[in-house]
This record gives sequence, C-alpha cells and structure tokens, in this order.
Amino acid sequence: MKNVRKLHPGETVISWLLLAFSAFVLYQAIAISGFSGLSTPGAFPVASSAIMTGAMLWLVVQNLRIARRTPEQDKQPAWAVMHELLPLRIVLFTLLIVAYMLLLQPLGFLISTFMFLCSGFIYLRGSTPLRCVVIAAVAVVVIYGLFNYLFRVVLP
Amino acid sequence: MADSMFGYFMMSWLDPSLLGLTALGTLAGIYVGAIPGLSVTMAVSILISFTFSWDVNNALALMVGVYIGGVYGGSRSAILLNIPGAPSAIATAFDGFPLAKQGLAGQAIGVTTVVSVIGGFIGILVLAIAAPLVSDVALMFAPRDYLLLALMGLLLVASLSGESMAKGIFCAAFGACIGMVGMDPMTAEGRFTFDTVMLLGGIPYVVAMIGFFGVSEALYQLHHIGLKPIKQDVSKIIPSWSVVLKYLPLSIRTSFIGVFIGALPGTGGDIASLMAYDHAKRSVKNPSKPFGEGAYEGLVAPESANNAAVGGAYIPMLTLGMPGDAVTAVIIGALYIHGLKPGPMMMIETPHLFWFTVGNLTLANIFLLIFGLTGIKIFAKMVELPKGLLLPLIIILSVVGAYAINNNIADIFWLLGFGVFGYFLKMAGFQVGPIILGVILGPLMDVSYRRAMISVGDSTLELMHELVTSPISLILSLVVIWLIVSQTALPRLIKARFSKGKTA
Repeated sequence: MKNVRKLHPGETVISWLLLAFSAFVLYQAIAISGFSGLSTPGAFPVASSAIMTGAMLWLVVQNLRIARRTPEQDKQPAWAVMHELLPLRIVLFTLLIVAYMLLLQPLGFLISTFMFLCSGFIYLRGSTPLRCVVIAAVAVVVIYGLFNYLFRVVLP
Repeated sequence: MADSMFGYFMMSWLDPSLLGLTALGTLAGIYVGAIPGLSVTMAVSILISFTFSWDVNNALALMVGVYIGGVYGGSRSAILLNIPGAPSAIATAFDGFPLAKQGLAGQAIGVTTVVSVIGGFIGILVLAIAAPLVSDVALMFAPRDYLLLALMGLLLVASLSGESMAKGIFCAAFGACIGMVGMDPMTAEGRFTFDTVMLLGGIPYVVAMIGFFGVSEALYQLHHIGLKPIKQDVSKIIPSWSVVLKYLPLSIRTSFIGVFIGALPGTGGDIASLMAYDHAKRSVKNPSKPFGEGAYEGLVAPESANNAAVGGAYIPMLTLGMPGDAVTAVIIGALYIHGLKPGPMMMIETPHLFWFTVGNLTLANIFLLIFGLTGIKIFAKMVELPKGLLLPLIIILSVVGAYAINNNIADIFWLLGFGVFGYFLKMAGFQVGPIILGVILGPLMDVSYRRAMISVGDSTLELMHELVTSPISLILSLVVIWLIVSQTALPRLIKARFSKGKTA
C-alpha cells in the first residue's frame, strides 16, 4: 500500500482519544435499546457510532503503520508537539474567550464586549494600543446598533 | 401558473428591500469569501441566527447573496495572496497566483469575474429546468431511497474531502450522532441524553455549526497571524470581448461539470473546481501558458465550475431536502428555523419559494458581475484587514449568533466546546464539513431507515428484495455499491493528479 500521508503534530494522541470517545458513544448507543430489533430508536445510533469506532480503529492502525516507518530522528519530542498543537497564544486567547463568556451576564453585553475586544486586539497586536481601544469602541457601537435595530436580535 | 411563476421569479427584483438585501449580501459575500479566515459557511451559519426573526424571504435573499458572492470572492485572495479565501478557490490559486506575480492580477480578476458569472447562470438555468423534474421523481421515492441517497452523499463527502477516508467517515458518522441527541422523533424516547433535561431537546445544531465553522476556524487562524499580502496593480480589470469569447467553450463545459458535482448530495464547489481544473488540464492542448505558470484556462475552469455548483447544490436541497454541500446544509437549517420543510412536497406546497430562489440567485449573479468589476481599490484595503482585529470580531459575532437562536446563555458554552473540539480535529487533519452534513443527513437517514424497516416488518430479506425490485432503489443501490467499491481507489487517483498538477 502506497501512503504518502504524514502525521500531524499530536495526531496519534488525538486519534486514540477519538477512538476512546467513539467507543464510549457506541456503548451509550447500545444502552438506548440494545439489540432488540432492527427498527428501534437505538438501531441507527448503534450503526453510526459503530462506523465511528470502526473508522477510528482503521485510522489508528494506519497511523501506527506510518509512525513505524518514520525514522526516529524525524519524530518530534513531546514538548515540541505540544507547542505546535497548542501554542501559548491559543491557550491564552481561549481563556480570554472563557472569561468573556463568564463576564457576559454579570457585566452586560456592552462593557464585557468592549473589554474583550480591547484585550483581544491588543493581545493579538491588531494595531497600536490606542487605536485598538478606539476600534473596539467603534466596533461595539456598530455591533450593538446592527443587532438591536437591523437584525432585532436579543443580546445577552 | 406561468404568470405566478414569473411573478415570484421577479419578486426580489421589484421589491426594493429584497433588492437591497440581495445586493448587500452579494457585496458582503465577496468580502467574506475574499478575506482568508472568513468562510461562506461561517457567514451563513452566523447569519441564520441573526435573521431568524426576519421574514423568510428577506433572510433567504441575504443568504443567497452571501453564498453567490462568497464562492466567487474566494478567488480574489487566491489570486492576490496565493491563499484561497474559500475551499472552492483552491484550484484557482494554482494559476491565479502565478498570473499575479507576473503583474497580471487585474486581468486575472476580470476574467475570473466574467466566467464566474457565466458559470453561475448555467447553474441557475439547470436548477430551473431540472429541479421540477427531479421533484416529480422524488415524489415516488420510498423511505429506503432517501436512506440510499443520504448514504451516497455521506460516502461521497467522506471520500472526497480531506486526506484520509477514515477521517471523513468518522466525521460524517460523528455528525450523525450529534444530530441524534435528544428526543427520538418517532417514539419520543431520549437518546444520548444521559438522563438530563438539557439534552432532551437535542444539541442546537446552529450552535454546532457556528462552533465548528466560526470559533474553531478563528482559533486555527491564530497559527497564521502574521501573513502580509502583496500590493498589486489592479487598475485594468474589465476583460475584452475577444478574451471572454476565447474561453467561453471551456467555461461552459466546466460549468456543466460544476452543476453536476454540485447537484450530487454532499459535494459542492470545492470538489467541482478541482475536477474542472483536472478536466481543463486534460482537454486543453495549447493553454495560453503552461498550467501552473499562469494559464488563463486554469482560472476559467475552476471558477466557472464552483459558481455553477451553487445552482447545482440547490437542486437536491429544494427537491429532496438534502444538502448539496456544506452551505446548503446550513441553509436547510435556516429553512427549518423558519418553519419550512425542504423536500419534494415543498415544490407543491410552496412553489413560490422555488421560483423566488431562482430569481434571487439570478439577481445575485448580476450584482456579482457589477461588484466584481468595480470597487476593487477599496477591496484591496479590506483584504489587508489584520487578523489581530478580525479574529476577536469573529468570536463576538459567533457568541452573539449562538445566543440569539434560543436566548440561552448555556448555548455559548456549547459553542466554545464545539469550537475547541473542532480546533483539535482540524489540527489532526480532520475536516469539519462532513460533520455538518452528518448533522443534517443523520436524522433524515435515521427516520427513513426505520420507516423502510417497519414497512417490511423488520425483515432484512424483504428489504433486500425491495432494493432490487424497485427501479429507483436498484439504481441508487448500485451507485452506493459502486461508491463503496471504487472509493478506496478514487480519492487517491484525484490526489495523485493534483500533486502532479502542483509540481508540473
């Protein structure tokens, strides 16, 4: 079998985790109505989760085969994989999003969004800090105006 | 009948607010498509939640515009930056960027615009002619036929998108499981609910869509935050008639490829454009320059095809309730929210919706021609919008969109969950498109499978018998079997061709 595919950083771990996840889904699917009939509510979930599990098993085996062929010196150490998979920037930005979501209700939409945009813009160096603050303020007003008047959407 | 058809066709042309929304949508779509990191699917899924309080016609007008504009817009950044702004513009970059490097970006954009519009019109024409016929046939479909069609769609998308079929199949099946969460529509029994009330209502699929296409894409883009575009001379873009006429035959041929691929459930402009590029490479003997070094043929083929695929993708959506690609999967979600049920009955119950959509697509295509050939200066500025500003804004729009659907604060945590999950999937080389198709097709398959099974009294033998005796089912079964058999070889074949195309 000819296979030129290379593994992505962290793919091995992710595919094992997904295999475990699929198996769990399959277990849950069987719990719905067991194997009592072919047209039960559980039949299709069992089929699709079995396909998930099968596809993941297949992938894990493929990946093992690729990993075995990769020369030792080409393999990255765990910290490098971690660094590529989850750079600090992404972790911090995600935490910023979490903070925003948690503060959304206590502080209200306008204040929390303004704070999130300011810190997000400045952190990602979208522009100079002063301009970031100005752009964030304008963006909040525009978003608020658009959603409140044009789209008539209820804001958090 | 014909009178009212024409009336509905012209509806969006004559109503100023619909006209305005279509224009706005098309313009916005071009930008969305052109800005790398914003995808049409992302934009349409966020738009669903912003427009669900609107009248359905207004919402659809905006979405049609964004869809048409976005598919075209991807070519801009493919030509100017060598970064396809949308997956359907991947093939455009092969020859578009070399042209830009030779200082011919203006001409390249001009030709692209014209052939996109030609492709778009052919797609719409086929839609208008074929959809009523398909819908007549679809009325004869039994539940088992729907099951087979949906299976066909998922198999196609799983095998053609991405690097490994195992990943595609996993994603499609995973999407189907997401769609299954909650109350079973036939017995009202809870599935995958872990005995919680929260999950009994199901996972809000629009939130899943925004999570997978909005948040996870934004997180993924954080990897490539520092890319800078090249300045281009884009003063002369309107192509001459002789150039257009020269490429017209190729444009028409590849448009038909586009419509056909688009009309297959599951496959859309991204695959159509790759197929069309391949077709051009094999059929054009004397290209203007060698392929890969700036051949106009290499632009004409994928760009005609991906815009033609839009019309194609609407065919299964409006006649069978099956998405032609990821964007139409999202639009089906929008129709559900507006209380409409796309499927064979829609043509009978609400024929105006069909002709309205056809008219609307035509209109959006005309706007595409106008906007595509003008306003390019402002455009160049917009594409240079720094990612540092863009990504936080995507997050805000996603959060507002996720919240707006049910006014439920818990939904925004679902959003983040799907976003982070989607990020890891992307990092490991999985595609999120098949998940969304699975979410839409999964429940449909579940119900049609069980109806089919019940109708034969749970007898597998009887079902097999029906599969071979009914002509429609027999054809569909053969296609599915063919797909399963050929699939292991097919994606490798295409990939082999394209890796050659890149190096050649």
